[in-house]
Amino acid sequence: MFRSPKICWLAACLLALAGCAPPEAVREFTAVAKDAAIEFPPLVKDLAESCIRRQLASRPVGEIADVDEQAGAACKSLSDLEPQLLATLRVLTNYLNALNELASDEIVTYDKQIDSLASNMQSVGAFQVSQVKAAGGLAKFLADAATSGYQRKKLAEALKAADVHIGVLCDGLGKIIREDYTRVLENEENALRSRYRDAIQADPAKNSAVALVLQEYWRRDLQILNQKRAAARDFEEILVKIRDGHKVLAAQASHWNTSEVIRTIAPYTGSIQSLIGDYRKAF
Amino acid sequence: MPELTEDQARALADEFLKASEAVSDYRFQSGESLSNDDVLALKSLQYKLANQSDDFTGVAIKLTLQDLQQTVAQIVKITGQAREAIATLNDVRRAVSIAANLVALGEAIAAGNPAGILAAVQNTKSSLSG
Repeated sequence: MFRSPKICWLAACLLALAGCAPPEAVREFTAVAKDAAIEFPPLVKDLAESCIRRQLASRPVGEIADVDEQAGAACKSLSDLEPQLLATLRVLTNYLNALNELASDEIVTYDKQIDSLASNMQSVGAFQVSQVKAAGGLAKFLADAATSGYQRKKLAEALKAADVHIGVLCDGLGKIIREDYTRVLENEENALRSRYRDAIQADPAKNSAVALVLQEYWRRDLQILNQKRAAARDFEEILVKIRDGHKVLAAQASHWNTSEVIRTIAPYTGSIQSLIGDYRKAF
Repeated sequence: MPELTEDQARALADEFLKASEAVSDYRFQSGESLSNDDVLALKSLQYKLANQSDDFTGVAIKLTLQDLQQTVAQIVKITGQAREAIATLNDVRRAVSIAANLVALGEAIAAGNPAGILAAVQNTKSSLSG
């Protein structure tokens, strides 16, 4: 088939390159991780919103006044941080997005371009159908092999270079959610509980119907807070899975073996999908 | 006053929250033994302690974000490099497309096929502008 040794060598190299399967594991993991990370902003915004709800819950029971501005001003220390927090989150989302695009099949597949070459060649009428097919097939093979090698090299570089930083970022954001957001919610719960107790005590007739209605409202508010706490735990767990899944990919970056990597990364991808389903119940 | 670490800020936020909860519990457990002035004073104290807890939480988050700045800068840089690689791959796609159309144009000219030349010129033009 190939008479020249140089052509044989070139064909062998290209076959070796093309034999490596595409970085499917990176694509699947980053697709799920970026979709999860996109859902985080409402929870981040709830840090300042919880503080505002607490401010409103701390107002006298019988007060009828517009105190939104006052409540907002009292929560400035948290609301001022919101843009920076959201920007930090966006850095993670943008990174996962870029990695996902870089791992995309589309940017290293030339089917459409080469098919158009083949149809152009055919329309000119100078070639036989078999020649057109052969030329198209060879061109696709060469282009795919050359660019998929570049794609894998760049993916490996990005995964290795970013791994430590992704770990630090996920841990930092996780700490803010696990400790700080949870504390702010507990503060809100405390203010709400006091408000309901005050309202019951403020009823001079000790009407049990009023007490029942207030109890019902308290339970409803508590349920919302508990859902948010559960969402915060899911959020933190997703960040842990992103960190650990990224570590697995970075560790395999020098020796892609698709079936093995996909098998290793699948539990992380599955966990993120399941956690984001639970997280959506609150946000 | 020396600056707080993020752990210290979190510990303070926790303590102020607990103190606020304790004042609230005390107020309701004491019930009618407290005068109206006592109740108002305790309510105000509970509110101030709760505010201080949220303020220290704000300090803790700010310090955590400051610590993350270098990390964030590195991830932004790596994201930029990944985007450059994507652009390179897209350039290659475009180059393949242009080359494919140029080859077809050459063949059409060599074959002397006016309809083929016209179509190939059009395709080459679109691939160059795309």
